[in-house]
Amino acid sequence: MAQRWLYERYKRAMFSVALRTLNDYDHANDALQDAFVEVFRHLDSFRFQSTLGAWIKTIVVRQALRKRQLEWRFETIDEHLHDRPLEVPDFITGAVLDAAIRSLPDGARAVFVLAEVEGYKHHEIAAMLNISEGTSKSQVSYARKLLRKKLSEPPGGPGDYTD
Amino acid sequence: MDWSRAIQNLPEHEPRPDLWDRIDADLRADAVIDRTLDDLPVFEPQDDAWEQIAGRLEKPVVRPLWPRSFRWIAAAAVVALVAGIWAVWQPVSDEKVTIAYATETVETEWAATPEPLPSSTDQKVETFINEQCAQQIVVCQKPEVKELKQQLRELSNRKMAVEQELLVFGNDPALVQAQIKIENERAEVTKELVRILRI
Repeated sequence: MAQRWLYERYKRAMFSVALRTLNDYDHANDALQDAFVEVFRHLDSFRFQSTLGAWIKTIVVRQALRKRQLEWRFETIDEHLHDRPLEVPDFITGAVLDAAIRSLPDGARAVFVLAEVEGYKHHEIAAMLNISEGTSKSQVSYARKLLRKKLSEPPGGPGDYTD
Repeated sequence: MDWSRAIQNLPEHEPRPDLWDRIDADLRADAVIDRTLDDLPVFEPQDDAWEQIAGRLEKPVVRPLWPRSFRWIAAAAVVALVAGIWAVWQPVSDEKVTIAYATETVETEWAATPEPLPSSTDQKVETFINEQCAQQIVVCQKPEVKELKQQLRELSNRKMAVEQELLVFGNDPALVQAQIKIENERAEVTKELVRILRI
């Protein structure tokens, strides 16, 4: 069955986007289900303006963002995050970075994932989250500052980023 | 007072001694983060996700008879009608008032997913720009004209992308807002382009 094949082909990548954006396993599963139902119901409207994967991803991202439509909060940026140079190890694993990303505040995490992991442009993120392009850019910058701080702290320390 | 000389003689200040260390550490940390982004793990959805999707696909889609916007219009019409009747029936005089009304049926073509067509204005503008560029090749080679034409192309692509998403999501408020914003930006860019080409 073609639909099943398409689902199997994309499920892991799409679920990872949803989970990383929402940091909530149940919401991410709901978003994935809703998104694939929409994909299969509207497959005939796909116009090949992008790759099929990119089209499905946009639908997954939108469904994920809808799960938190009224809950997105963008923290005011603290410009004085650290009082010493931060030493991040030269090598970290993807799992460690993933845990650090998922520990970010909701708004900063969503924008960082969409911009830096998924490659969306700031004007696209601004439209998706109904924020300004400036807010999108500053939240990415804020997320990076927080990540540097989290990754420079030893596991088990005050800012432990592991679950 | 000679402001320009005073400004030229403003004193210089030293940043904090460890500032370079901080900048260097941030740059190195960003490089580590960027490198590791390619190694982020992927996750599996729950095992029965496909069964749930397949189950939902088998159910018939129930679409509302009237789109939400039409429901609002209908509600507003009812309110207006009630208010009108109330206003006419106010006992301000002894005159007898006869209310006559007629209903009109408007034939409309209902499409499940209406295909947005480029407006005639868009086509006219595009034709105008093409004609002007054919006649004024030098003007169209100007960097600002090239830039504006590029912006217009990008905005048109974004417009089409949003229209496609609207087909999937219906009137999602964020998408509608994005559509309005893009239309406004297109109008601004088009206005500027036409202004330059008319000079």
